[in-house]
Amino acid sequence: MGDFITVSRQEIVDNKWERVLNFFRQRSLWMLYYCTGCGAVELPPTMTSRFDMERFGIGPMATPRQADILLITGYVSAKTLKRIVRSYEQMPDPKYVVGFGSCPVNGGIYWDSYATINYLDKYIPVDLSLTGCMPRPQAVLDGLLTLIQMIDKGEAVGHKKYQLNYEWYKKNQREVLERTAPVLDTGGLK
Amino acid sequence: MMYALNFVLWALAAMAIGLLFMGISRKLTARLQRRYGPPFWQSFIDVIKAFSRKSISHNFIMDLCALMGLAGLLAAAMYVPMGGILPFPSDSPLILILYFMPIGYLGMAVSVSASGNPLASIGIGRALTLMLGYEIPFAIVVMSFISNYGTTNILSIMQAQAGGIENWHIIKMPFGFLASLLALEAMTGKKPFDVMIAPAEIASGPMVELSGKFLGLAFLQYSVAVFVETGLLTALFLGGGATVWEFVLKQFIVYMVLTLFSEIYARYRVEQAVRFLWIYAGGLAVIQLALNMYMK
Amino acid sequence: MTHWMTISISIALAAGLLSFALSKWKKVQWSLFLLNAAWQLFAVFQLWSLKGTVEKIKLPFTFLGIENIELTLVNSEIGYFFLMASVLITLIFAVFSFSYNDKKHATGIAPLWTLLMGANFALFLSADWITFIAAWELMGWTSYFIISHGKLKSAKAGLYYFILSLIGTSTLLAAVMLIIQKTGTLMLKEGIGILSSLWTADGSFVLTVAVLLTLTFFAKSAVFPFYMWPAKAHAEAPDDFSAFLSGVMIKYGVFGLMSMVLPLFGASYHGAAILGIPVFLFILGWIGAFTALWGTLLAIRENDMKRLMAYSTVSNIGFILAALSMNTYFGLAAALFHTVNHMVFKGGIFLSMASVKFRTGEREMHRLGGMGYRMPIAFFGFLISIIAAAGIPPTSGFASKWLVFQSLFNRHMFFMAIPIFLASTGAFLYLYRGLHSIYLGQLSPRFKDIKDAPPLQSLAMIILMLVMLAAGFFPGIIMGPVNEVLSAVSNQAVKADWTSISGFTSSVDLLIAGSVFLGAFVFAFILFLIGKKRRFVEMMDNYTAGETPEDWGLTPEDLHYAMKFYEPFEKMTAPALDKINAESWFSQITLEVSRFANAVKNWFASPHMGTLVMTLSVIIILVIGILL
Repeated sequence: MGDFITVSRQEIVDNKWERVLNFFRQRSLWMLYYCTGCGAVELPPTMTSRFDMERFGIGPMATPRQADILLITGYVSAKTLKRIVRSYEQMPDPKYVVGFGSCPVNGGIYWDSYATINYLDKYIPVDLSLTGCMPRPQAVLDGLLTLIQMIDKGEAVGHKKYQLNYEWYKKNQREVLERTAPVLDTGGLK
Repeated sequence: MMYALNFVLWALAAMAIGLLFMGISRKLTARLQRRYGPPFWQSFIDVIKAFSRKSISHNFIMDLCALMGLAGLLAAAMYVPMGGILPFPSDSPLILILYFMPIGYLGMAVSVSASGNPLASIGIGRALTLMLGYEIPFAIVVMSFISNYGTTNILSIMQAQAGGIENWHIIKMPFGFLASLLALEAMTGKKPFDVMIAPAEIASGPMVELSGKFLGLAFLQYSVAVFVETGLLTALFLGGGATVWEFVLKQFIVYMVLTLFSEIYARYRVEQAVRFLWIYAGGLAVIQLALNMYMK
Repeated sequence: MTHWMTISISIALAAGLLSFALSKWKKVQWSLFLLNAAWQLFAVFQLWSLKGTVEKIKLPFTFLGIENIELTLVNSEIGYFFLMASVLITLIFAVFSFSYNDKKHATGIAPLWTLLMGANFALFLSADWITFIAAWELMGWTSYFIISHGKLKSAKAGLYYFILSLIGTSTLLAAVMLIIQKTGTLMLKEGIGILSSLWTADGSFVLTVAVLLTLTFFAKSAVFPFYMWPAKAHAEAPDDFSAFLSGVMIKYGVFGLMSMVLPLFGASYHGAAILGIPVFLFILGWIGAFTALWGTLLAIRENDMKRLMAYSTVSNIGFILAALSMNTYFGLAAALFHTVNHMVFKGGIFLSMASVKFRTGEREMHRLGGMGYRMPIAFFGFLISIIAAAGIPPTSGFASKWLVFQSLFNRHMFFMAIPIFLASTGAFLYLYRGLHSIYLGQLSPRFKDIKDAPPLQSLAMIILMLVMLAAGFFPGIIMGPVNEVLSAVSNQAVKADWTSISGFTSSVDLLIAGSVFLGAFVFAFILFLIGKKRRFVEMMDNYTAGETPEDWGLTPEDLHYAMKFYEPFEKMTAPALDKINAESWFSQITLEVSRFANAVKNWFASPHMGTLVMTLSVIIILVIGILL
């Protein structure tokens, strides 16, 4: 994977005008939960009266078209990756990815499973990872506040990285997806 | 030139008031659920953010009709007599409002179904069915006004209520008020009549493919709709308002009542909703019409 | 003095007959049709300044004791109004048909349609009963053959239409015999005039005539209980002719009601009345309201696009009938305005659908979809037409719906207005469904390379679009002629100028309303430009919960949601719709009649019963003979 393009910080952070818009973006973050792994159960407490993430303007949304944040909870199996990539590519820019729990960071307790992928960052650009197994609502909120600060500074630029290194990401994704191709005849279904 | 300025002012006011109401209602909902809730200007932030994002579109029809959607509602907003003022003098604002609003909904419907997502079409199908439910009681209420006053001029209906709370139609025509309140609950798409949105079931229905500024336009359309619909109820039943502030305050109260209702009910299926609206709201409205016609 | 009317009718008939002889050269036939339509328009413009002219042809026959009967044509106000509208719209249809009837789609109806145009001309201008009945019959025959046009399925629909027409014709004949016998004149207007003054002398006779005439015109205009023939006939007729059938032909009944039934209930009416409306007309109004509602409910659950729009036509006739039965000059204005408006927008809808069928050959809506992306002109033609049909500004539809409601409110018919309002809102449901299922949604790969309608077809649709928009901003275009009719018929006129109309409860300035809408559109466009750029994506790039549709073998057709669009609502209305079904009533009657006939046949077939019946009849005859 040698052709990953690294660019200097100056080049990739948002410019002045975008920073003005970031003021609004950071205060209104709509989230798409991708909860096929575990950990979704930590989100309701984060939303409801105890921790109330709506006070930061963060709320759930139904489809990737509307969402700013793609929140991926728990392990990512090789088959889910395809869906994650499709959802991610359907989101309009600017968009942010948050990995939730240890598994998207390094595989967690599934690090040696044949069916999961260990580093989500190899396939789509993760802006922020919440470590822990599971991260408690406090940790989730803390992480989201960090994301808000990053957006404010114009540093949450994962979507730009994805565009720059599109080929590299695609190559990595292909490697996994080839593994999931069905062996037996499935009658046209994949 | 003057008209253009009036238009822009009125349009901006309508959108701002609608968004403000939406923000405050979110705050109110949060407080009911013992949360702190978002700031009351959250809806403004949401809209600006929506416009600041890139967006996707499927074809030219989607672009064009999204504009038609907002335009219809804005045109309707021009005939809401905020503080007894109309930017475009007209003799029949009520009829124009009732016919301009559908063009907004039609535009939005065409726009989202041009996206080709079946969920959007399902949502629109439900929304139109629901429209059949709430338009009938509301139209009957409007007819009972016509039967009383022989006019659809909203300004003279407002003037007829001048002079104190005992002259308001909420006192004089209580059945009509209840009927139109129920209809309004459905018009604003609040629970129990939010089956066309149903995020968990059909992924927010009509809005499923809207992104960036399309979502922003949809938000603005909704905010203007809130302004127009609460404005209608205020002008017809709550005596309108001598000043802009009074009018907006009454609109605000109406919208908060709707929000409170919304928080205690679960969701109707669409045919249940239509049946409910026809039987209860429609029944109340027919009673009011009969009273107005035969007991003048 | 030139005989414009006689000449035009003769030309149409001659052209029609000539056209039969030229059946080898299809394009020549259609050129003849087009030329005839153009000539008729020219003649109609000549007749503009000749209002009230009478043309007579003397015939050396005696009929019902009246010697030397005359075939008379008169350029009356109502007739001229209908004639003008129908001829104008037919010219547009003719342009469309000229392009539509290419080698693949030719139906060979041009000669018949040319004859029909002659009948159309004579019908609206006829001044005596004989001319009227002749024109009515010619119209019935030609349209029957056009609807059948040599296909088995169409022939069935045509037969259905024809039998209903026969009912209409027989009641018409009965009514005319009664009228002529009573009044002793063959002239149409005089006869009706004498009849309308007979209310005190012989009220039940006038009522009988009114009922008979009404039945005739109901059968033609597809009012309840005859509401089901358009669904068959419109659907099976040639696609370009459907526009004429729905736009013009169904209005003959309206014309008849306007010029023959309504005058009966004039100033000298003495009879029971409800809120100032004669009971007969009151019932008529409720039938109209019910027809409007029923047409709408039936249209909502229809999947065939032409059948859907046929039911929509039924519903619109209901509006017209309700307004008409108010028996005021305002109701007449509303009915006339809506008649013209319905001609235009239903023409637009049917032409647009015809051009879709021209390109795809499909009629079931769920098999289409996404046509709007490939056929933008047809799409816009349909879109503007349905906006007009739904009665939304800034199109002509707003003014006409508004007038209908005004005429009802003026008579305090609020309860009658409820079903009409329901129908008018329900129109959104089926109109949107048509738009969505045909023009929006997913484009089937079968139609990937489809082109827009050919130039002449597009031209016809564009003209109709422009008319609708122009009449939306300047309703005076239609209101002016309507007012001329009103001032001739009732010496009253709706207060109106080029841009605004005044009703009883309010007045609207449509130019301002339309400009406000355009301003709002510009405002929204500016907002759209302020927002960040959008990019176009593939139609199949949709939210599908992360799945790639192709992986599951899903084609765009599977993602096109069009079948059973309003299923919850359909389920809700189905019990009522199935219970009140005139078609099953009629078939029940047929069944009973044939059962009775069979029984009679069996009596004579079996020897015992035959002998018995014969003996009994002989005895009865004998007894009667003795008694007398």
